[in-house]
Amino acid sequence: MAYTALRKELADYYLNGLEERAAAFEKEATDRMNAENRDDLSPTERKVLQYRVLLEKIDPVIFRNTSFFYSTGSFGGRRHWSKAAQWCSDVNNHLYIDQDPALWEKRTAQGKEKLYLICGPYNDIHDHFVYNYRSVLNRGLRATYEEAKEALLTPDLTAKEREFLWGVVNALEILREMQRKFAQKARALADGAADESARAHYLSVASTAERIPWEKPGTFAEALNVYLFMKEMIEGFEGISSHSFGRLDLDLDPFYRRDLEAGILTEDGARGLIAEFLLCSDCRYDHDLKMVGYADHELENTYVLGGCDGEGRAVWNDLTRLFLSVSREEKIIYPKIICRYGANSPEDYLREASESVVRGMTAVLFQNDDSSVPALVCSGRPLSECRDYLVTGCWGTKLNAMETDEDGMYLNILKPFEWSIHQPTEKMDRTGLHFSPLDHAGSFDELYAITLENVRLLMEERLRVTKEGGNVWDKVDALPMFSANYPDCLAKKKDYPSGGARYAAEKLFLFGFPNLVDSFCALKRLVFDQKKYALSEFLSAVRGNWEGNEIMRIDAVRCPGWGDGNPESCAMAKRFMDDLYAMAGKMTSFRGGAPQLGHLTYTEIRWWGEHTKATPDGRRDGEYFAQGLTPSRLKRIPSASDVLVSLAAIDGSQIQANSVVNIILPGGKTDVARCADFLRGAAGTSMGALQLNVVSKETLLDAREHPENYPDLIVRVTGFSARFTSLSPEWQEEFLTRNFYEN
Amino acid sequence: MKTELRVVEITHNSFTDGPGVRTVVFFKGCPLRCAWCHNPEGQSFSPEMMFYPSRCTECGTCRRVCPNGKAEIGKDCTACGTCAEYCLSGARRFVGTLTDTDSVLGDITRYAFLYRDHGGVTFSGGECTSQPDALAELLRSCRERGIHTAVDTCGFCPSEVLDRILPDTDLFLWDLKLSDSAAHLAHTGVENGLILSNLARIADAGAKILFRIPLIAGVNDTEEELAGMRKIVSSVPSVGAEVLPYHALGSGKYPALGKPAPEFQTPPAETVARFREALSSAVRGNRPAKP
Repeated sequence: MAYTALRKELADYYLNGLEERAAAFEKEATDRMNAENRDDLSPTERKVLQYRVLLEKIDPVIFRNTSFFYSTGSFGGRRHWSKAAQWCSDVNNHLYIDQDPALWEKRTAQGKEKLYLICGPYNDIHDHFVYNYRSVLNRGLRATYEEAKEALLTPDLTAKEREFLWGVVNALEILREMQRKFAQKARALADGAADESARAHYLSVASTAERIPWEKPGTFAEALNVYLFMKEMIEGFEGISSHSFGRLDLDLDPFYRRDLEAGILTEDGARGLIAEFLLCSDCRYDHDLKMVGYADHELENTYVLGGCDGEGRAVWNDLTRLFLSVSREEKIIYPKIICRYGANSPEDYLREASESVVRGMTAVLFQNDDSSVPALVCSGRPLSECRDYLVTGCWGTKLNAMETDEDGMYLNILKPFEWSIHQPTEKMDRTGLHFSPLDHAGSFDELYAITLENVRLLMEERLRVTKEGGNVWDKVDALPMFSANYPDCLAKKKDYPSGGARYAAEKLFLFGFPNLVDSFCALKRLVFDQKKYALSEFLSAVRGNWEGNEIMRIDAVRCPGWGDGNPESCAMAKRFMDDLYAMAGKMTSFRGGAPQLGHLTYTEIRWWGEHTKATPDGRRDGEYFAQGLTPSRLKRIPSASDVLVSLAAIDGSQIQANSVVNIILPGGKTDVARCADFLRGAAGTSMGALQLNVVSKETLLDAREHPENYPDLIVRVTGFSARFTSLSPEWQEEFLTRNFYEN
Repeated sequence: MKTELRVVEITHNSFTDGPGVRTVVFFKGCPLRCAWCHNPEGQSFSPEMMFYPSRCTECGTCRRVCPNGKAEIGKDCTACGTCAEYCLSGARRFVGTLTDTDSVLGDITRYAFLYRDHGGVTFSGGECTSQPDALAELLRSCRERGIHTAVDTCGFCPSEVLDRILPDTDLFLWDLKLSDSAAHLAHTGVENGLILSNLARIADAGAKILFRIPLIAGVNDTEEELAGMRKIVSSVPSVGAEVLPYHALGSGKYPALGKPAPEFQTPPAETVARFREALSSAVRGNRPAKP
């Protein structure tokens, strides 16, 4: 690892006292905003008031060891956005409750019972946004500003349109002023510099800050700076988090090539700039922090490499290689890398992308274009835009800065199944969700139909809750700084929370699909086909947490199940997925159109598992859930190929909101060529996101015993990567009890 | 027509037994008894039970499900495998499933989309040529489906078997153990005359051959053996010679089968490197297959 001085400077700044400084900043800023607040302010007016106060209070930070300028000093560490910048939405947040207290009470009760997770009150109002950096790269902020000023002169604007455009103009002026503050600060630092080298450094920063991002960036270095600057501004002023830098190898390539041709950059120079750029993110966090809570290592921001461009041409260039190799050499965990791939990806690319995984430094998530692009096309978007999709945050797929959606919405379809067996009357009364019991099913088809209807009831309820509660968003918050560059907000003269984005989607991330398929297989075979057990006897054993019925439980575990490649389980999974998809197709989401289905499961595999009673697949009270489309760990599936056969059995185009599968291949026996082969095989299935680790169980056990010997063993955990030694004992155990294929 | 065969197991996603992603069918039973064998569960032609005491949680399920009510391997055990089916800890393992070619072929073809242009199926063991009818049928069926086929063999089988399977075998993984026939007899239980004549026979018929040479300290890592192996490797056209240093990964299987574990050593890295270089340089390269 190199860049010692930069690492030290950033660590000193971010890890020593920033939390306290940010808290003091927040207090001072919010006191001032509260003092200036008036009840008659609209959300946009209130937001502009917020911008102005923040601009006044922020004292920009300029580092000595990087030429990039971006830090507001108002937040950092593990926070994804400034708490002070959340003021406007916090002031108005009561509207979510006041509009319908009974609905709020129900939503809270349903959430508490782990029927679903809504990230935010009814909308994901702070997380999972993606800023449109491309616009700033291609034309700078000035062009957008002039367009907004021009639009303000349009006759017959509605009051709402005028207010939005006014907000955009103000937001961009604030950014211009902020940029100037950076330039002034840099000049002041240059004036007080101790030596000529420092003075030259600060003058260079000042010179850049006087131009970009108001003007479009002219060089590769300036373009990199745009990403850091705009991310910090959006999070520091708008109070939302931007979860992807987008497609860095594709979007930066023209800058890189131009600089090379002009003779002002070499490949080594680019390597150094990329390292600095990545370290500015990576050094914000203490990667040795013990993971104990819900999302201690969830650092959200990603960037996408590889895949194809809008015309379907493979993206694999010098920058793809440089980003991958620099991340590996500098042991970068954050930002997270998404490597898009397909069956026809260049072999060199697949091998390069696999290299860090094989070396036990897994900061990569693999995303399968061959299933993702058709799925997005099936959701009604144009092919060229679908080919340009992103994977953001943990694993949400979305078009490249074009749509309004929410990536923190998990729906626990195992819960209605659990309740249909265990019948917790009080909980069902409290949540208003009464799921029909399975006890009187006379055939498997009848039992299956009851379950499907119970799942439908939950899906409908979840959509109803958002539909009735979510429309108040544009009265709670305005996002003119974010929306200014977001297609098509400016053209439609509509803010993002009001539906200004080109597309809108509501996603339902299903939770528990593998456990349900396994349960169906067990019930069908043991109760209805073989008639080995009576339904009442079987359900009674499940209700009793299998106590005294261990052989019956093992019988259930031994039945075919999701991920084993068995024709029986494959047919069951296909049937269930087809039915879920058909069912969702008849529903209408809050944003119009049918909801998009995904199979994504975050750290709830533990938390929700702990609150879920035994299920017919042989799972006992409190045991883990299967993650996304990862097979249940109860099944002893020997080969990763078995999982691929199962994944090939269901239609990937039905999974429009992405899915995730965990695969651990044996360390020491798996090289990059094998990884590449595996990825090409996976491309032919419905697999969406692949959390691929290459490590042996023995290595992990040794790392648990002797953490001092494994400081750089990085594993992909669940939506994020982390040093294995930084995981709490419970999370280490979770990882160690996963399926190690071909080990 | 389906033919019965007994297998140790069928694995998928193998990268070590031929090119690309492969399904590997491990036939049960082998005419050799290589002292260092890392797949001893493939030696006997009969079904067997394996038991790993360290994995046993003493849950008692095996005794409850045992048709004989005892589940004590080696005593009244008939190796029916029921206890292994119920052993979630993996302490008990049954090897030697009796299956048939239709079933195995179905298994192979379900995974065919993963083989792509350079993967396929490898028939291994044990010794796959010891169940020639099933092997020939599977090879023919795979060939008809365009699936790349490899046969991993010690070469100790009637030459007619090789004549029969040769047209449907894309690649022979030819396990070369010792060049000296007396040593071969001492360490594997058979002389190598038949093996070498079979090698010449398939080479003459245009077979594509990849040599695989297990290297065991004190057994075949001598200068004499290196010279002998070089002579054999250079005697026929081949696509390569892989040296596989002995590893102890299979040693835990011996006690699980109720047998004493052999004690062999991995040769020093420099010896392995020397053998690799010397044997690679002896490779004659392949000639075009006969039309």
